[in-house]
Amino acid sequence: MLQDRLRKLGVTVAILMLWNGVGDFIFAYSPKLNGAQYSTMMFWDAVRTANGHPHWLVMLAQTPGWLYPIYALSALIWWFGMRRAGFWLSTVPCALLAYALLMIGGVQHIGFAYLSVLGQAKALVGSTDPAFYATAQRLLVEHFLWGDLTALIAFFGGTIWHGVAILSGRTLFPRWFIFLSPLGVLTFEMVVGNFLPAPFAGILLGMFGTWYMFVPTLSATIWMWNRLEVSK
Amino acid sequence: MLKNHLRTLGISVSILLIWNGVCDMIYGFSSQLNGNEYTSLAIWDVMRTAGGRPHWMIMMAQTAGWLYPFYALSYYPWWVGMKRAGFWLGTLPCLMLAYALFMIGGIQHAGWAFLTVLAQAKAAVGSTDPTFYATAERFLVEHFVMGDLTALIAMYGGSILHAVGILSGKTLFPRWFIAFSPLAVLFYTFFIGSFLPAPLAGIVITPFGTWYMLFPLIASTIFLLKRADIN
Repeated sequence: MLQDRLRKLGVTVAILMLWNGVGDFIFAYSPKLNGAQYSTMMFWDAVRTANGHPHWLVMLAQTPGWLYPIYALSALIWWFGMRRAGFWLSTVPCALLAYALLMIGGVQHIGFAYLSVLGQAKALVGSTDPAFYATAQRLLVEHFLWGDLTALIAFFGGTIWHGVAILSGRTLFPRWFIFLSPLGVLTFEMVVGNFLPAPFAGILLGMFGTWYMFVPTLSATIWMWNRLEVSK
Repeated sequence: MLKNHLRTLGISVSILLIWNGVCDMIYGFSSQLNGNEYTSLAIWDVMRTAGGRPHWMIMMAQTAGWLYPFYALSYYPWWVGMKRAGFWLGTLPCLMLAYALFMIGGIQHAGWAFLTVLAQAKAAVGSTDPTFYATAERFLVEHFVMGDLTALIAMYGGSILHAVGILSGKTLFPRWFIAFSPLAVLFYTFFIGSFLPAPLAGIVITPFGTWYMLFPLIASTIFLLKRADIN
């Protein structure tokens, strides 16, 4: 019964995560950037202008943000596989990851649109007041980062902690599963993506948040598919 | 055991909710608006400028947004009391309200700050390009409303469905408990607030989101703690 529910949950959430990839693609994909350039100000230029996408498309890109409370349920699948490792190595990292996703939906994914507002307005009607533009842009970024602060802490803290728990060998997942964990996927994306040429780098790095959720969710769901211990 | 959990949850989340009230006041309180004006465009002028309050204070106002995943736990006591009414009248309304709070933390509470950015920049360095200003403001509002769309639907839909659940008489709560439901608190806040003069109207209406979460949480927790059959 429980296992059946977990299967349905994992498959459903993984499918819904694909829509996040579309949103990420609109917000952050640039066909001109190679991997190394994704960690420079050139990437910021792509974000703050939404790559010149029209307003309606940027609004469409916001919509996966609505689904993050559902994406956060993916932590439940991990938790069932990790709970035998005890509170500190299961509940805490999964709760941190769930918290991160709950916050990221509103403040980060939907919030990305705010970062491109000035670029969108400038593309439409021009801008003749650079001092105002620069100040407004600075304030937008500050509010974005500040709102995102706890989500980022939970995201990185939870990811590392989760990786430690997998490596402890006390969970239902084998140690090698670290490669399919959020930490493994994130590391893979950053390292491999950094060496990729344009336009492939954008597929990996522009949509890094989607892969970060999708691959571990699908992997954990498949691994737990027939593990009877899940119901104990 | 369950009562202990409910007590701990009720007290902890209630205390955390007070901070939301402080932040609501920073975003939307005006000492000059009476109740009627709070439902006019005058409130938009306050919101988009945060009443002229400084940048650091508006950043402080964002911080309550971080706590919304905890605020969403306030529907756990409601669910405990309503689950016997079944999925549609017990679980679904509580899920919708929890979803609303999950979203509101990031997109609405932390997001209000974005609506004030242009006014903050104008106060700091002036603005000589009204066309750009107006266009950027329109985009900000549109992105805010679009992001907030599902949260609003879940909040109002969930509040109404929740009230229907209580009125069905199938929950642990008596029908008169509708008076302590989120829908009722929302109604009191705006009804009473609309008759109040400034600055009292601002104290009642501005933190409406806080009252909306706080009073139903306290009421449902106390009610359940007094029930002998909750363990």
